[in-house]
Amino acid sequence: MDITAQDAVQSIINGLCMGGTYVLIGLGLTLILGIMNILQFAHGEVYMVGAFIVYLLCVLNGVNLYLAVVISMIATAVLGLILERVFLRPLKGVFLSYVCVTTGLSLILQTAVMLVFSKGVKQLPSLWGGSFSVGGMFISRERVVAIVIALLLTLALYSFLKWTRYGLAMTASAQHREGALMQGINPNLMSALVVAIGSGLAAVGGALGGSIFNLDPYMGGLAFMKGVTLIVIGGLGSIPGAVVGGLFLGVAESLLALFFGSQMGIILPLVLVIIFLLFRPKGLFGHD
Amino acid sequence: MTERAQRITKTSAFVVILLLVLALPWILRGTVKAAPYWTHVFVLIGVFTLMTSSMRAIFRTGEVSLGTAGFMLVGGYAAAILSIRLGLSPWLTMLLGGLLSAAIGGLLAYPFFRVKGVYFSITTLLLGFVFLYLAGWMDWLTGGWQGLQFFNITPELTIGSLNVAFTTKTNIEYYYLVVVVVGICLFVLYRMERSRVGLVWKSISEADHLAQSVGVNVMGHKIFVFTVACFFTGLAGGLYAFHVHALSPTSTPANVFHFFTSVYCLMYMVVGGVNSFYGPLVGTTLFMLLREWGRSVSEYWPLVMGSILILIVFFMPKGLVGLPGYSRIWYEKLRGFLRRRALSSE
Repeated sequence: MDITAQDAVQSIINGLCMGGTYVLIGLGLTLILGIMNILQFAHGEVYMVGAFIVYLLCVLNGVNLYLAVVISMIATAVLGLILERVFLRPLKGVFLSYVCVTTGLSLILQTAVMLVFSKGVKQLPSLWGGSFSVGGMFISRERVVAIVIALLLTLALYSFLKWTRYGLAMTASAQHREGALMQGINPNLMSALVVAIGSGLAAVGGALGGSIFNLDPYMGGLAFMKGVTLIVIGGLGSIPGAVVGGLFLGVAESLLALFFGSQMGIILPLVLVIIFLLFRPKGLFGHD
Repeated sequence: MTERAQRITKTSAFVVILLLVLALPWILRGTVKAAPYWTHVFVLIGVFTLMTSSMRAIFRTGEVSLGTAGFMLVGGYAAAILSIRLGLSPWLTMLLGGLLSAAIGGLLAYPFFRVKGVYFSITTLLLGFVFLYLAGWMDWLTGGWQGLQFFNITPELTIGSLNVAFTTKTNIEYYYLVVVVVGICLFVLYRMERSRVGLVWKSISEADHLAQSVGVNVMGHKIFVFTVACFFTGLAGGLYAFHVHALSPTSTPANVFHFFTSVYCLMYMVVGGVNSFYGPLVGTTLFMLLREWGRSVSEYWPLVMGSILILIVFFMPKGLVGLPGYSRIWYEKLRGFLRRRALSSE
């Protein structure tokens, strides 16, 4: 099989697009891990729920797609608040307990969604139909839109963390919980905020992913795995790390799939992550 | 109760349970219609008990391994492939499957245990996925996505003139095979936990730096327990393989080698009671039986399971094994509540 330059560019663009949705999942995971010291196993299901809310509004009730995404983002953020208050906060970071509770939650959410929206192939409408050509290469518009939305949201989050009071308080809690507590930062408020923001971002990720692929109640598991992979590459708890890790993972996957077949596109990044964990547990951008 | 009376109660309870386990296929034959099916269920319970107990052995050192399904796949596939390709006896290949799984586990243990807690769990989780996808990718060896089927290979045992084939016709022979193998493995795990090694594991889980400072080889012990657990998990995979005679690497949640199996083992462990050796036994048996009874509503099953898990974590952190203690506390609380109400209404 000949691989032309066009194929390579195409797969880089596809990879960046995939990477964009991965970044949106990874940001929530990495923030929650940094501030609450919890790996949210149900985060992939939050992503899935976000996509299904968009489906419910947009396809079944005819709401405008972009409006539906915004509503879904808010609804999922509220869901995140509830999860944090009811399930995560009382556990106080006991390792085995939260692993069990969050995996239990992910089973519950999966089944609930499967029962509400019966089985069958579902897809969201395209973000922006059609394609345009640059230098003889066709690039579909929806993928570009997906990349742009992901980058804008990341930028917004970054500015929030860098330049607002609450954002700075959050960064402080992530860096040193006790120190932040002594400065009068309420750790419970920070945990609630971070789960809400992370869930909202994941919902947008779900909407972007769902407009490119089919919707399925089990789509969260794979997304969660990608999220974990990219936060390990980028460095746990680091925002720039999550962005670079996510885009890198997306591109690496699609290029590896182009050269070695789709199976290797899945296996090699996992092996890469295991190697990363072993030789550089801090990731690319992490610090102790 | 005096110590002697306690010991007598314990021993007699053990003997009764052992007799029940041994007589089970015959009890089933007398009481239920689809006896072979139920025997099959109990075979699976045995296999899963072994996996859950190995997971708990790793947890004794404070780490949660989520790669159980992956190592089960290695053991199962190795046993099946060696028997199909090289024509080795299933007895040998089951053992070899366990050994291969232990070898892989042992080799990976050193790099893996350089990280702790969440990071270790992530690594093992991803490893499970790697094994699953590799099994699909190496189609020249594993049959790829079509899976492996080998209905003609069954373990056989010849003692003198007596020949026993462990077929799936009534499952009774296979049930006894599983009882014996799993029994031996559980006994080994039990003895390890109750010996000096078990205390060292506990010390690592409670304070690893302190343990290291008094001369415990933390890394060595972790590698050891991981290797042992991987051996038993691989053996469980072999037992599973020669029972169902069909293996597949598909990544649907229904596949036994999928990540969900690891999650279920974690659930069985926690629901049964993570601090007791009997926890995995109780958890696995009850949950898998419940699951069978709930076949008609199998769609809701993960929902029920997730809810039970969360309720247990919040209200009974010691698991079902701690039920007697909990019921006493709840009873006292209820009595106190009623008495207060009676007093306030007077």
